[in-house]
Amino acid sequence: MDYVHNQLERLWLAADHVPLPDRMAFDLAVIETVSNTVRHGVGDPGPVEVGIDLTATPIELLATITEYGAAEPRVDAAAYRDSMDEVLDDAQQVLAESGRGLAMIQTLVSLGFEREGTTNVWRLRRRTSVPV
Amino acid sequence: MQIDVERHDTYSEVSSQGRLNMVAAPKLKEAISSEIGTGAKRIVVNLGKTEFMDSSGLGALISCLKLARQAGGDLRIANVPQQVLMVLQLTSMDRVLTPYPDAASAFDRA
Repeated sequence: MDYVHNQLERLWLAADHVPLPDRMAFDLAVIETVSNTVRHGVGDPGPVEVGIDLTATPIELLATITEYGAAEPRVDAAAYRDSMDEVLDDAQQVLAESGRGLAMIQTLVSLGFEREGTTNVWRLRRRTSVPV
Repeated sequence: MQIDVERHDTYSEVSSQGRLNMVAAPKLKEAISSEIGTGAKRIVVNLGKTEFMDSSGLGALISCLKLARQAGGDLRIANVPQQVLMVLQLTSMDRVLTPYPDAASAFDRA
């Protein structure tokens, strides 16, 4: 996980035009996504290898997180629909110890998913608040 | 990630330094629950040197908050950096874990 944090730090050194709120949002979304792959990723057949590609353009931040040799993600379909509001509306979840990661990711970035063969690709995208 | 526990007269201060992610969260949880296990009821988590916190770190704080309350005490957070505040606000957990400016004032109005 330190590797991912360090890659993000390197990105910000190169892309110093990106405002702090966008950096914080993107850092969190990337770390949450990678954590999910580490926590839930199942190898097909062997261990999953995760690749990360980070890009900052003048107007947007892009992250591609690729799981090689992975089974199809077993993400609860409902989790994709649940926004943070729905999570919060569920009184039983207010003091839950997990389950906020995906809702946070969806608040911070637009999230795309593709699967090809045994490769899962998660695409994160955030428009920056840099005035053009 | 480094965790320090300091005992004051009326509370225990747990300082978390570095990145509070899925690797570090169980360590924080262990440190706080063992502090509660020794009889400490009032816990202040000093986040001043926490460079980053994600949902795992938040989960550890919530878990320890519940432990402290079960023990008849409470857990409060102090010295909260901007990034941690963002996570609390995104999840509306700032309503449950109210940030205090520093460790000493966290239990002032207990």
